[in-house]
Amino acid sequence: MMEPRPSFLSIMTRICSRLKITKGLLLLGFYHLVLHGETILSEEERALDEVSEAVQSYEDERVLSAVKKALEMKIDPSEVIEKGIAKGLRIIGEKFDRGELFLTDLIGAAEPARKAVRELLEPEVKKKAEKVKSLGKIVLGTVQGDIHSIGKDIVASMLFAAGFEVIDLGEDVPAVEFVEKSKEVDADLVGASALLTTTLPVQKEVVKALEARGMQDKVKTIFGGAPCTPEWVREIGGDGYAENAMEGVKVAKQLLGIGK
Amino acid sequence: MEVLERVGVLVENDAILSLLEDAGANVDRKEKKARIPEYLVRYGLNKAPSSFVLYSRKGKKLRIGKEKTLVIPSANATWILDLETREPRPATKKDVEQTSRLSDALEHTDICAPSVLPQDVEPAIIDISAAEAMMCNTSKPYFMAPCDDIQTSYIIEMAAIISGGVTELENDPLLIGFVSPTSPLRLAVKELEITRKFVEHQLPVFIAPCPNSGATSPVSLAGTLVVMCTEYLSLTLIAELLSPGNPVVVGGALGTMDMKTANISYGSVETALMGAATAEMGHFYNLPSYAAASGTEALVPDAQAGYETAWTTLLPLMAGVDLVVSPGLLGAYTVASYEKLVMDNEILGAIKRVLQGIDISETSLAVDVIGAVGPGGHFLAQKHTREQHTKERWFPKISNRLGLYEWRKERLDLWRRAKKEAMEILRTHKPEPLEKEKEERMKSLIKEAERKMVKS
Repeated sequence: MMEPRPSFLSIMTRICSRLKITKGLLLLGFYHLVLHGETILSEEERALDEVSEAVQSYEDERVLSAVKKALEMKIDPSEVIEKGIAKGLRIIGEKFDRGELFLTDLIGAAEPARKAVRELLEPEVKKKAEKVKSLGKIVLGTVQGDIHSIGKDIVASMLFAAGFEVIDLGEDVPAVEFVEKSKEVDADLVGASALLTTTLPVQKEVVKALEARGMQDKVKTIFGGAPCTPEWVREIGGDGYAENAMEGVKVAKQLLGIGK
Repeated sequence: MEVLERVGVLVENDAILSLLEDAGANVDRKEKKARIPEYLVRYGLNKAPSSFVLYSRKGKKLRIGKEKTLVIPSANATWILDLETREPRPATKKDVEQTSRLSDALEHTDICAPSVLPQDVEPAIIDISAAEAMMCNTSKPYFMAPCDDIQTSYIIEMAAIISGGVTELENDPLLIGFVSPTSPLRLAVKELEITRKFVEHQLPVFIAPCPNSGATSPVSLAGTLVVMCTEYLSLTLIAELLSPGNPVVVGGALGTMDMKTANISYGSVETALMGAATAEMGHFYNLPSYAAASGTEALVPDAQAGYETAWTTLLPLMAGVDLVVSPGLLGAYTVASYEKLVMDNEILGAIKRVLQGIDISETSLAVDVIGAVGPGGHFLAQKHTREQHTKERWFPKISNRLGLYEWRKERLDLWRRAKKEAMEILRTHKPEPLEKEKEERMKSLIKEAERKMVKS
């Protein structure tokens, strides 16, 4: 929240009367500062700040309207994402790491943010034929035969909050679909979650399908879910094991060589 | 009722949607949603019996509902603490055999369940293998929570072999099933198919939602209870429409999502409170109730395991729940432990003493005895003490009652004492053996299943 400040002019007037500087010199100084934009926030910065604040307020409508306003002001959509959305999520993420905020705050901020990115910002970015800047692209899903998705949904939100581009295929996803989507979007990572011992083997099929298309070096795999273990991941030739959502984000970063 | 009428449940099976529609539910075929009016819910409640009988293969009857609480071990963990090394490792078929044998011996286990699912068999036959290992190693009635309908069919076939035929099984069921909707409010394809398989043979079945408070149900405890009741009332109705009069047990495994780790907790006091409430809801609906108890997030049998098990078991039992699925697991029901089975048996014994209460009678008030001993005397030699102490006291098996000097000789903590007891039971206890012929038939049934279901 921005605290109300005394007007710039009133401060300068007081200083001038102390220093006995003429108003003329004062105005020159004022313009100098404005041109360099160092003390006063421009309209645009204020708009981006509002996006960041809106994300931190967890309010759906506020995020959407803040983003709309920023786009109306012709601010570059990538800027809106980087300096508005991502900034807000970073602040929340840091507070969560410090133990000041909880999972419910993280997901509460990430979901409206994701909605705004998906509905308002990505289409604009595509129009400009630009690419959305992200830490990496990950294709996620719960494996075929399995419909337990809450864990995977939490990981998706957290990866998004951490700065990844997440393509969520949902539940009951056949191995081959993970791979085809990865190829289509040029993904860096594939993440598959399995909650039943009987559906776990599909994770092996994902690895095999990637190998069959010669994609195993380009696309890293990360697996998780209650019956999944580091030994299993090693056995099937997977690249990373995620014990829980937090670990998932850490491992995803490690696999792509991204520092903490 | 409001949620059932207004929000409705997702029913992922067209035939069952039709069934509900014909019965009077408001069905949206495109969305696969059923909105169920109150009168229809009451119909389902009235059809389901408030009590029923389960049998053991020795013919012993177990009445469920309107009786004392019955205990079933927690099931389907994939890890186990190795008895020798005390380290967690993947569970094996041998562990299913041994934990079943242990549960067969433990006096506070009434119905047996496989504590673990074997990780050393083909995944497609994991439940069937567990069933076989269990059924051959205990003569108590059987509880199974299979994860698909194909294995459910095989398990029912195995139970029929033990009963001596399908009709025998249907008349005197020795198997009780378990089915869980997908919270929130979703009756997915799999669970509907599994329900159908069980009720086809009129087998009693647990209808047990497992919402995670804060994630798949509201974070408020009351809201989680609403989701649980909505789900089990709708699935009970379906069960009764498919098989009128089918015995069901309603309740839930009500976990909470930990907001720091995103892990589910089952050892929390919130779970304990909701467990007690589940018992009361069962009384309200006049149906046998169940609560998941004895959960703990501890990964070894330590103090946390002790206190979390104690409160999550005490509350539902004091509230009069009919069944608990509880002993034997750590790590939010993911890691089994022989020692914990023994430790939980101990805790159950103590809690049952709590439920006994304090007897107030002429004998227990003992005024004559007090008079006989008089001021300054003692009661140890009294006949009253000799005769009454076995009724008045609970006898711990593994809890320490030694003083400091005695204890210092061996310095055994609870974990070690439980291990000693577990090993002793495993060394000496022989369950009632299954007839050779039945064992053979079960083994060949598994081979057939393996042939059909395992992709080479």
